[in-house]
Amino acid sequence: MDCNDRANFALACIGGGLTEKQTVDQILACNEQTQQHGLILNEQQALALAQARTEALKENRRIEFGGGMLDKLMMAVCDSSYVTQENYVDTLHEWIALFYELKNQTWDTISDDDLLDFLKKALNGCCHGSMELVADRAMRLAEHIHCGKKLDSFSLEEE
Amino acid sequence: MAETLGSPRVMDANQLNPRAYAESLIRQALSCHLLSEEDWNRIQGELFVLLAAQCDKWTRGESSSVPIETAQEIMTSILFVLSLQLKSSPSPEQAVAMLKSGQVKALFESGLQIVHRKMNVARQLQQKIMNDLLETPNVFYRSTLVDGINGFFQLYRPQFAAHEIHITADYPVLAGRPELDGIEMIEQYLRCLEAENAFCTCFAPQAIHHLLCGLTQDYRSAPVNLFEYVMLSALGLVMVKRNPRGLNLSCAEVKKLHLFFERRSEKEIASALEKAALLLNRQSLLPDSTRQYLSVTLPKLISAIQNAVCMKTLDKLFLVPAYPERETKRFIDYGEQMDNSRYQKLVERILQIDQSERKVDLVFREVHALADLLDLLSDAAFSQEEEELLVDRLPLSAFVALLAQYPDEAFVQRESDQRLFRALTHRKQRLSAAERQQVEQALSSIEKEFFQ
Repeated sequence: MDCNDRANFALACIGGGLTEKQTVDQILACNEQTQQHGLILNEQQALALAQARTEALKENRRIEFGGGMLDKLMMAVCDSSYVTQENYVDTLHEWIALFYELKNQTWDTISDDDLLDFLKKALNGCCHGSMELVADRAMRLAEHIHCGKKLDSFSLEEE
Repeated sequence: MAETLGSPRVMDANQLNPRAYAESLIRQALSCHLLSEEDWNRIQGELFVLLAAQCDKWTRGESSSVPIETAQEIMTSILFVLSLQLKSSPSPEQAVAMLKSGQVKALFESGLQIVHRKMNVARQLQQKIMNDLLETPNVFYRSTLVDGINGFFQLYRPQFAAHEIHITADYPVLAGRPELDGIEMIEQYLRCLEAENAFCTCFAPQAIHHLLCGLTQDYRSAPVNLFEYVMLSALGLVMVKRNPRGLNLSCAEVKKLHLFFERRSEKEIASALEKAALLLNRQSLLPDSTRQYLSVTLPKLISAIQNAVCMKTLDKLFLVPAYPERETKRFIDYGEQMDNSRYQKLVERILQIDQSERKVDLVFREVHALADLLDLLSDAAFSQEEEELLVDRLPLSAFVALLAQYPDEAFVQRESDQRLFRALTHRKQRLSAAERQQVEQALSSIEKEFFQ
């Protein structure tokens, strides 16, 4: 059994995390709180989001344990004045893709909560609801981290 | 991992990989039907839960996801720890039974305790060796044992990377680098070193130094195993009925050993070495740990002897000691230079003198350091004739020292150097045969010193 073999065995043991069914249930459970902001997802949309999460994890070569962070992500988005029922699903899809990419790009140096907080501030603040601008700020944050700096010394405002 | 009908229910211990024990045990147990698919699914599920918990610890609960490579590393570490626990079972079958009946998390926790115990054992082993460490100029010996092993303990994280070694462990032990991982490898490596060090410290460090100089004086900076040569020399001396403590086989005795081994089979060589080892033991030159170690490494020694006999290079294995300090050495002595103002005044005085003879007399009266002479030859603007006169009157040792400074015309650039080089060449050409031999010997000993 060489190193690759051992790694494959380890991967086989890792298997999959939450099943999509469990994720869908978790997403739908959030409706209770998000509907206070007029935002609600149906089962089909929840399934699509669960699949998007799986895809994003795969694309970014990451593995997620426990309940994951979809519920936290939905809570971070739902009280934004820029998010309406019309753009809610699209925003969630974009945030899911961006979140895991940013975890990698910031070399896992920022916690989930801090990263969500950053995205939320960007969306509701300087980016005025534009996901394109949020993605741009996110990549600037990654460059900032690559220079050996920390999240708290990053300014969201355009220089 | 599908089950196959008719597969045997007995495990083949030889198929178990010591570096991936849990993995190979599970694979074999599945193929022997000692583990069912149901068991395997449960184990996988528990492994996943354990991995999740370990990753959570790794991220300090701050991230719900980790890169796959990180998860893989942590899972490899978990399997390494489980392997230690499973290896503690008296048989592979009992290890499988342990896996079948126990919770993976509990097995992991017990495995971690074994890791910590092994770390303590390794620390004690290192300390024991360091307390009586062989004094040797070989840089790898001390640096690996002290700096390398300390480095390992600083970097080792049994919770998340119990399988890592982190260091290169450059000093080669005779038994070969243990094919293990993590603390298992370090512990085994230290056991080898302990056995080797215990034996080597039975001999005078100078005797070992001279013995190894018989191989090469560069052994100081080479990753060479010292034990093998010390052991073979001691065994060889016992075989030629001499006191092994001196580690001083002669060329004639090595030839005798060659003749002896040449006519012996592998079994006979083994028997002769074992007999010699017994005699070493009687002379209290074989500590317990070394005795066991020798039984493991004997096949390597036998194979090395057979190869050397075949290649007629037994003298590279049974070394004849060399004593470099007994060789005549000449150092280029730069001596204590005169102070700057005195030197400047001397240069001025030389420049004011017209007669060559008087200039050279003054130099020989005032200059006592080679460094001053070299400076003057460049600063005092001597003519070719003056330089020739000066060089001719130099004592042989100073002449040799200057020759060593200007070995070749290719090194000569400045005009003053070219004059000096010509003067040196002229004197060299006029040397008698005896003088020339003396100069050549002196030059070669200077070169040896320089290139050692």
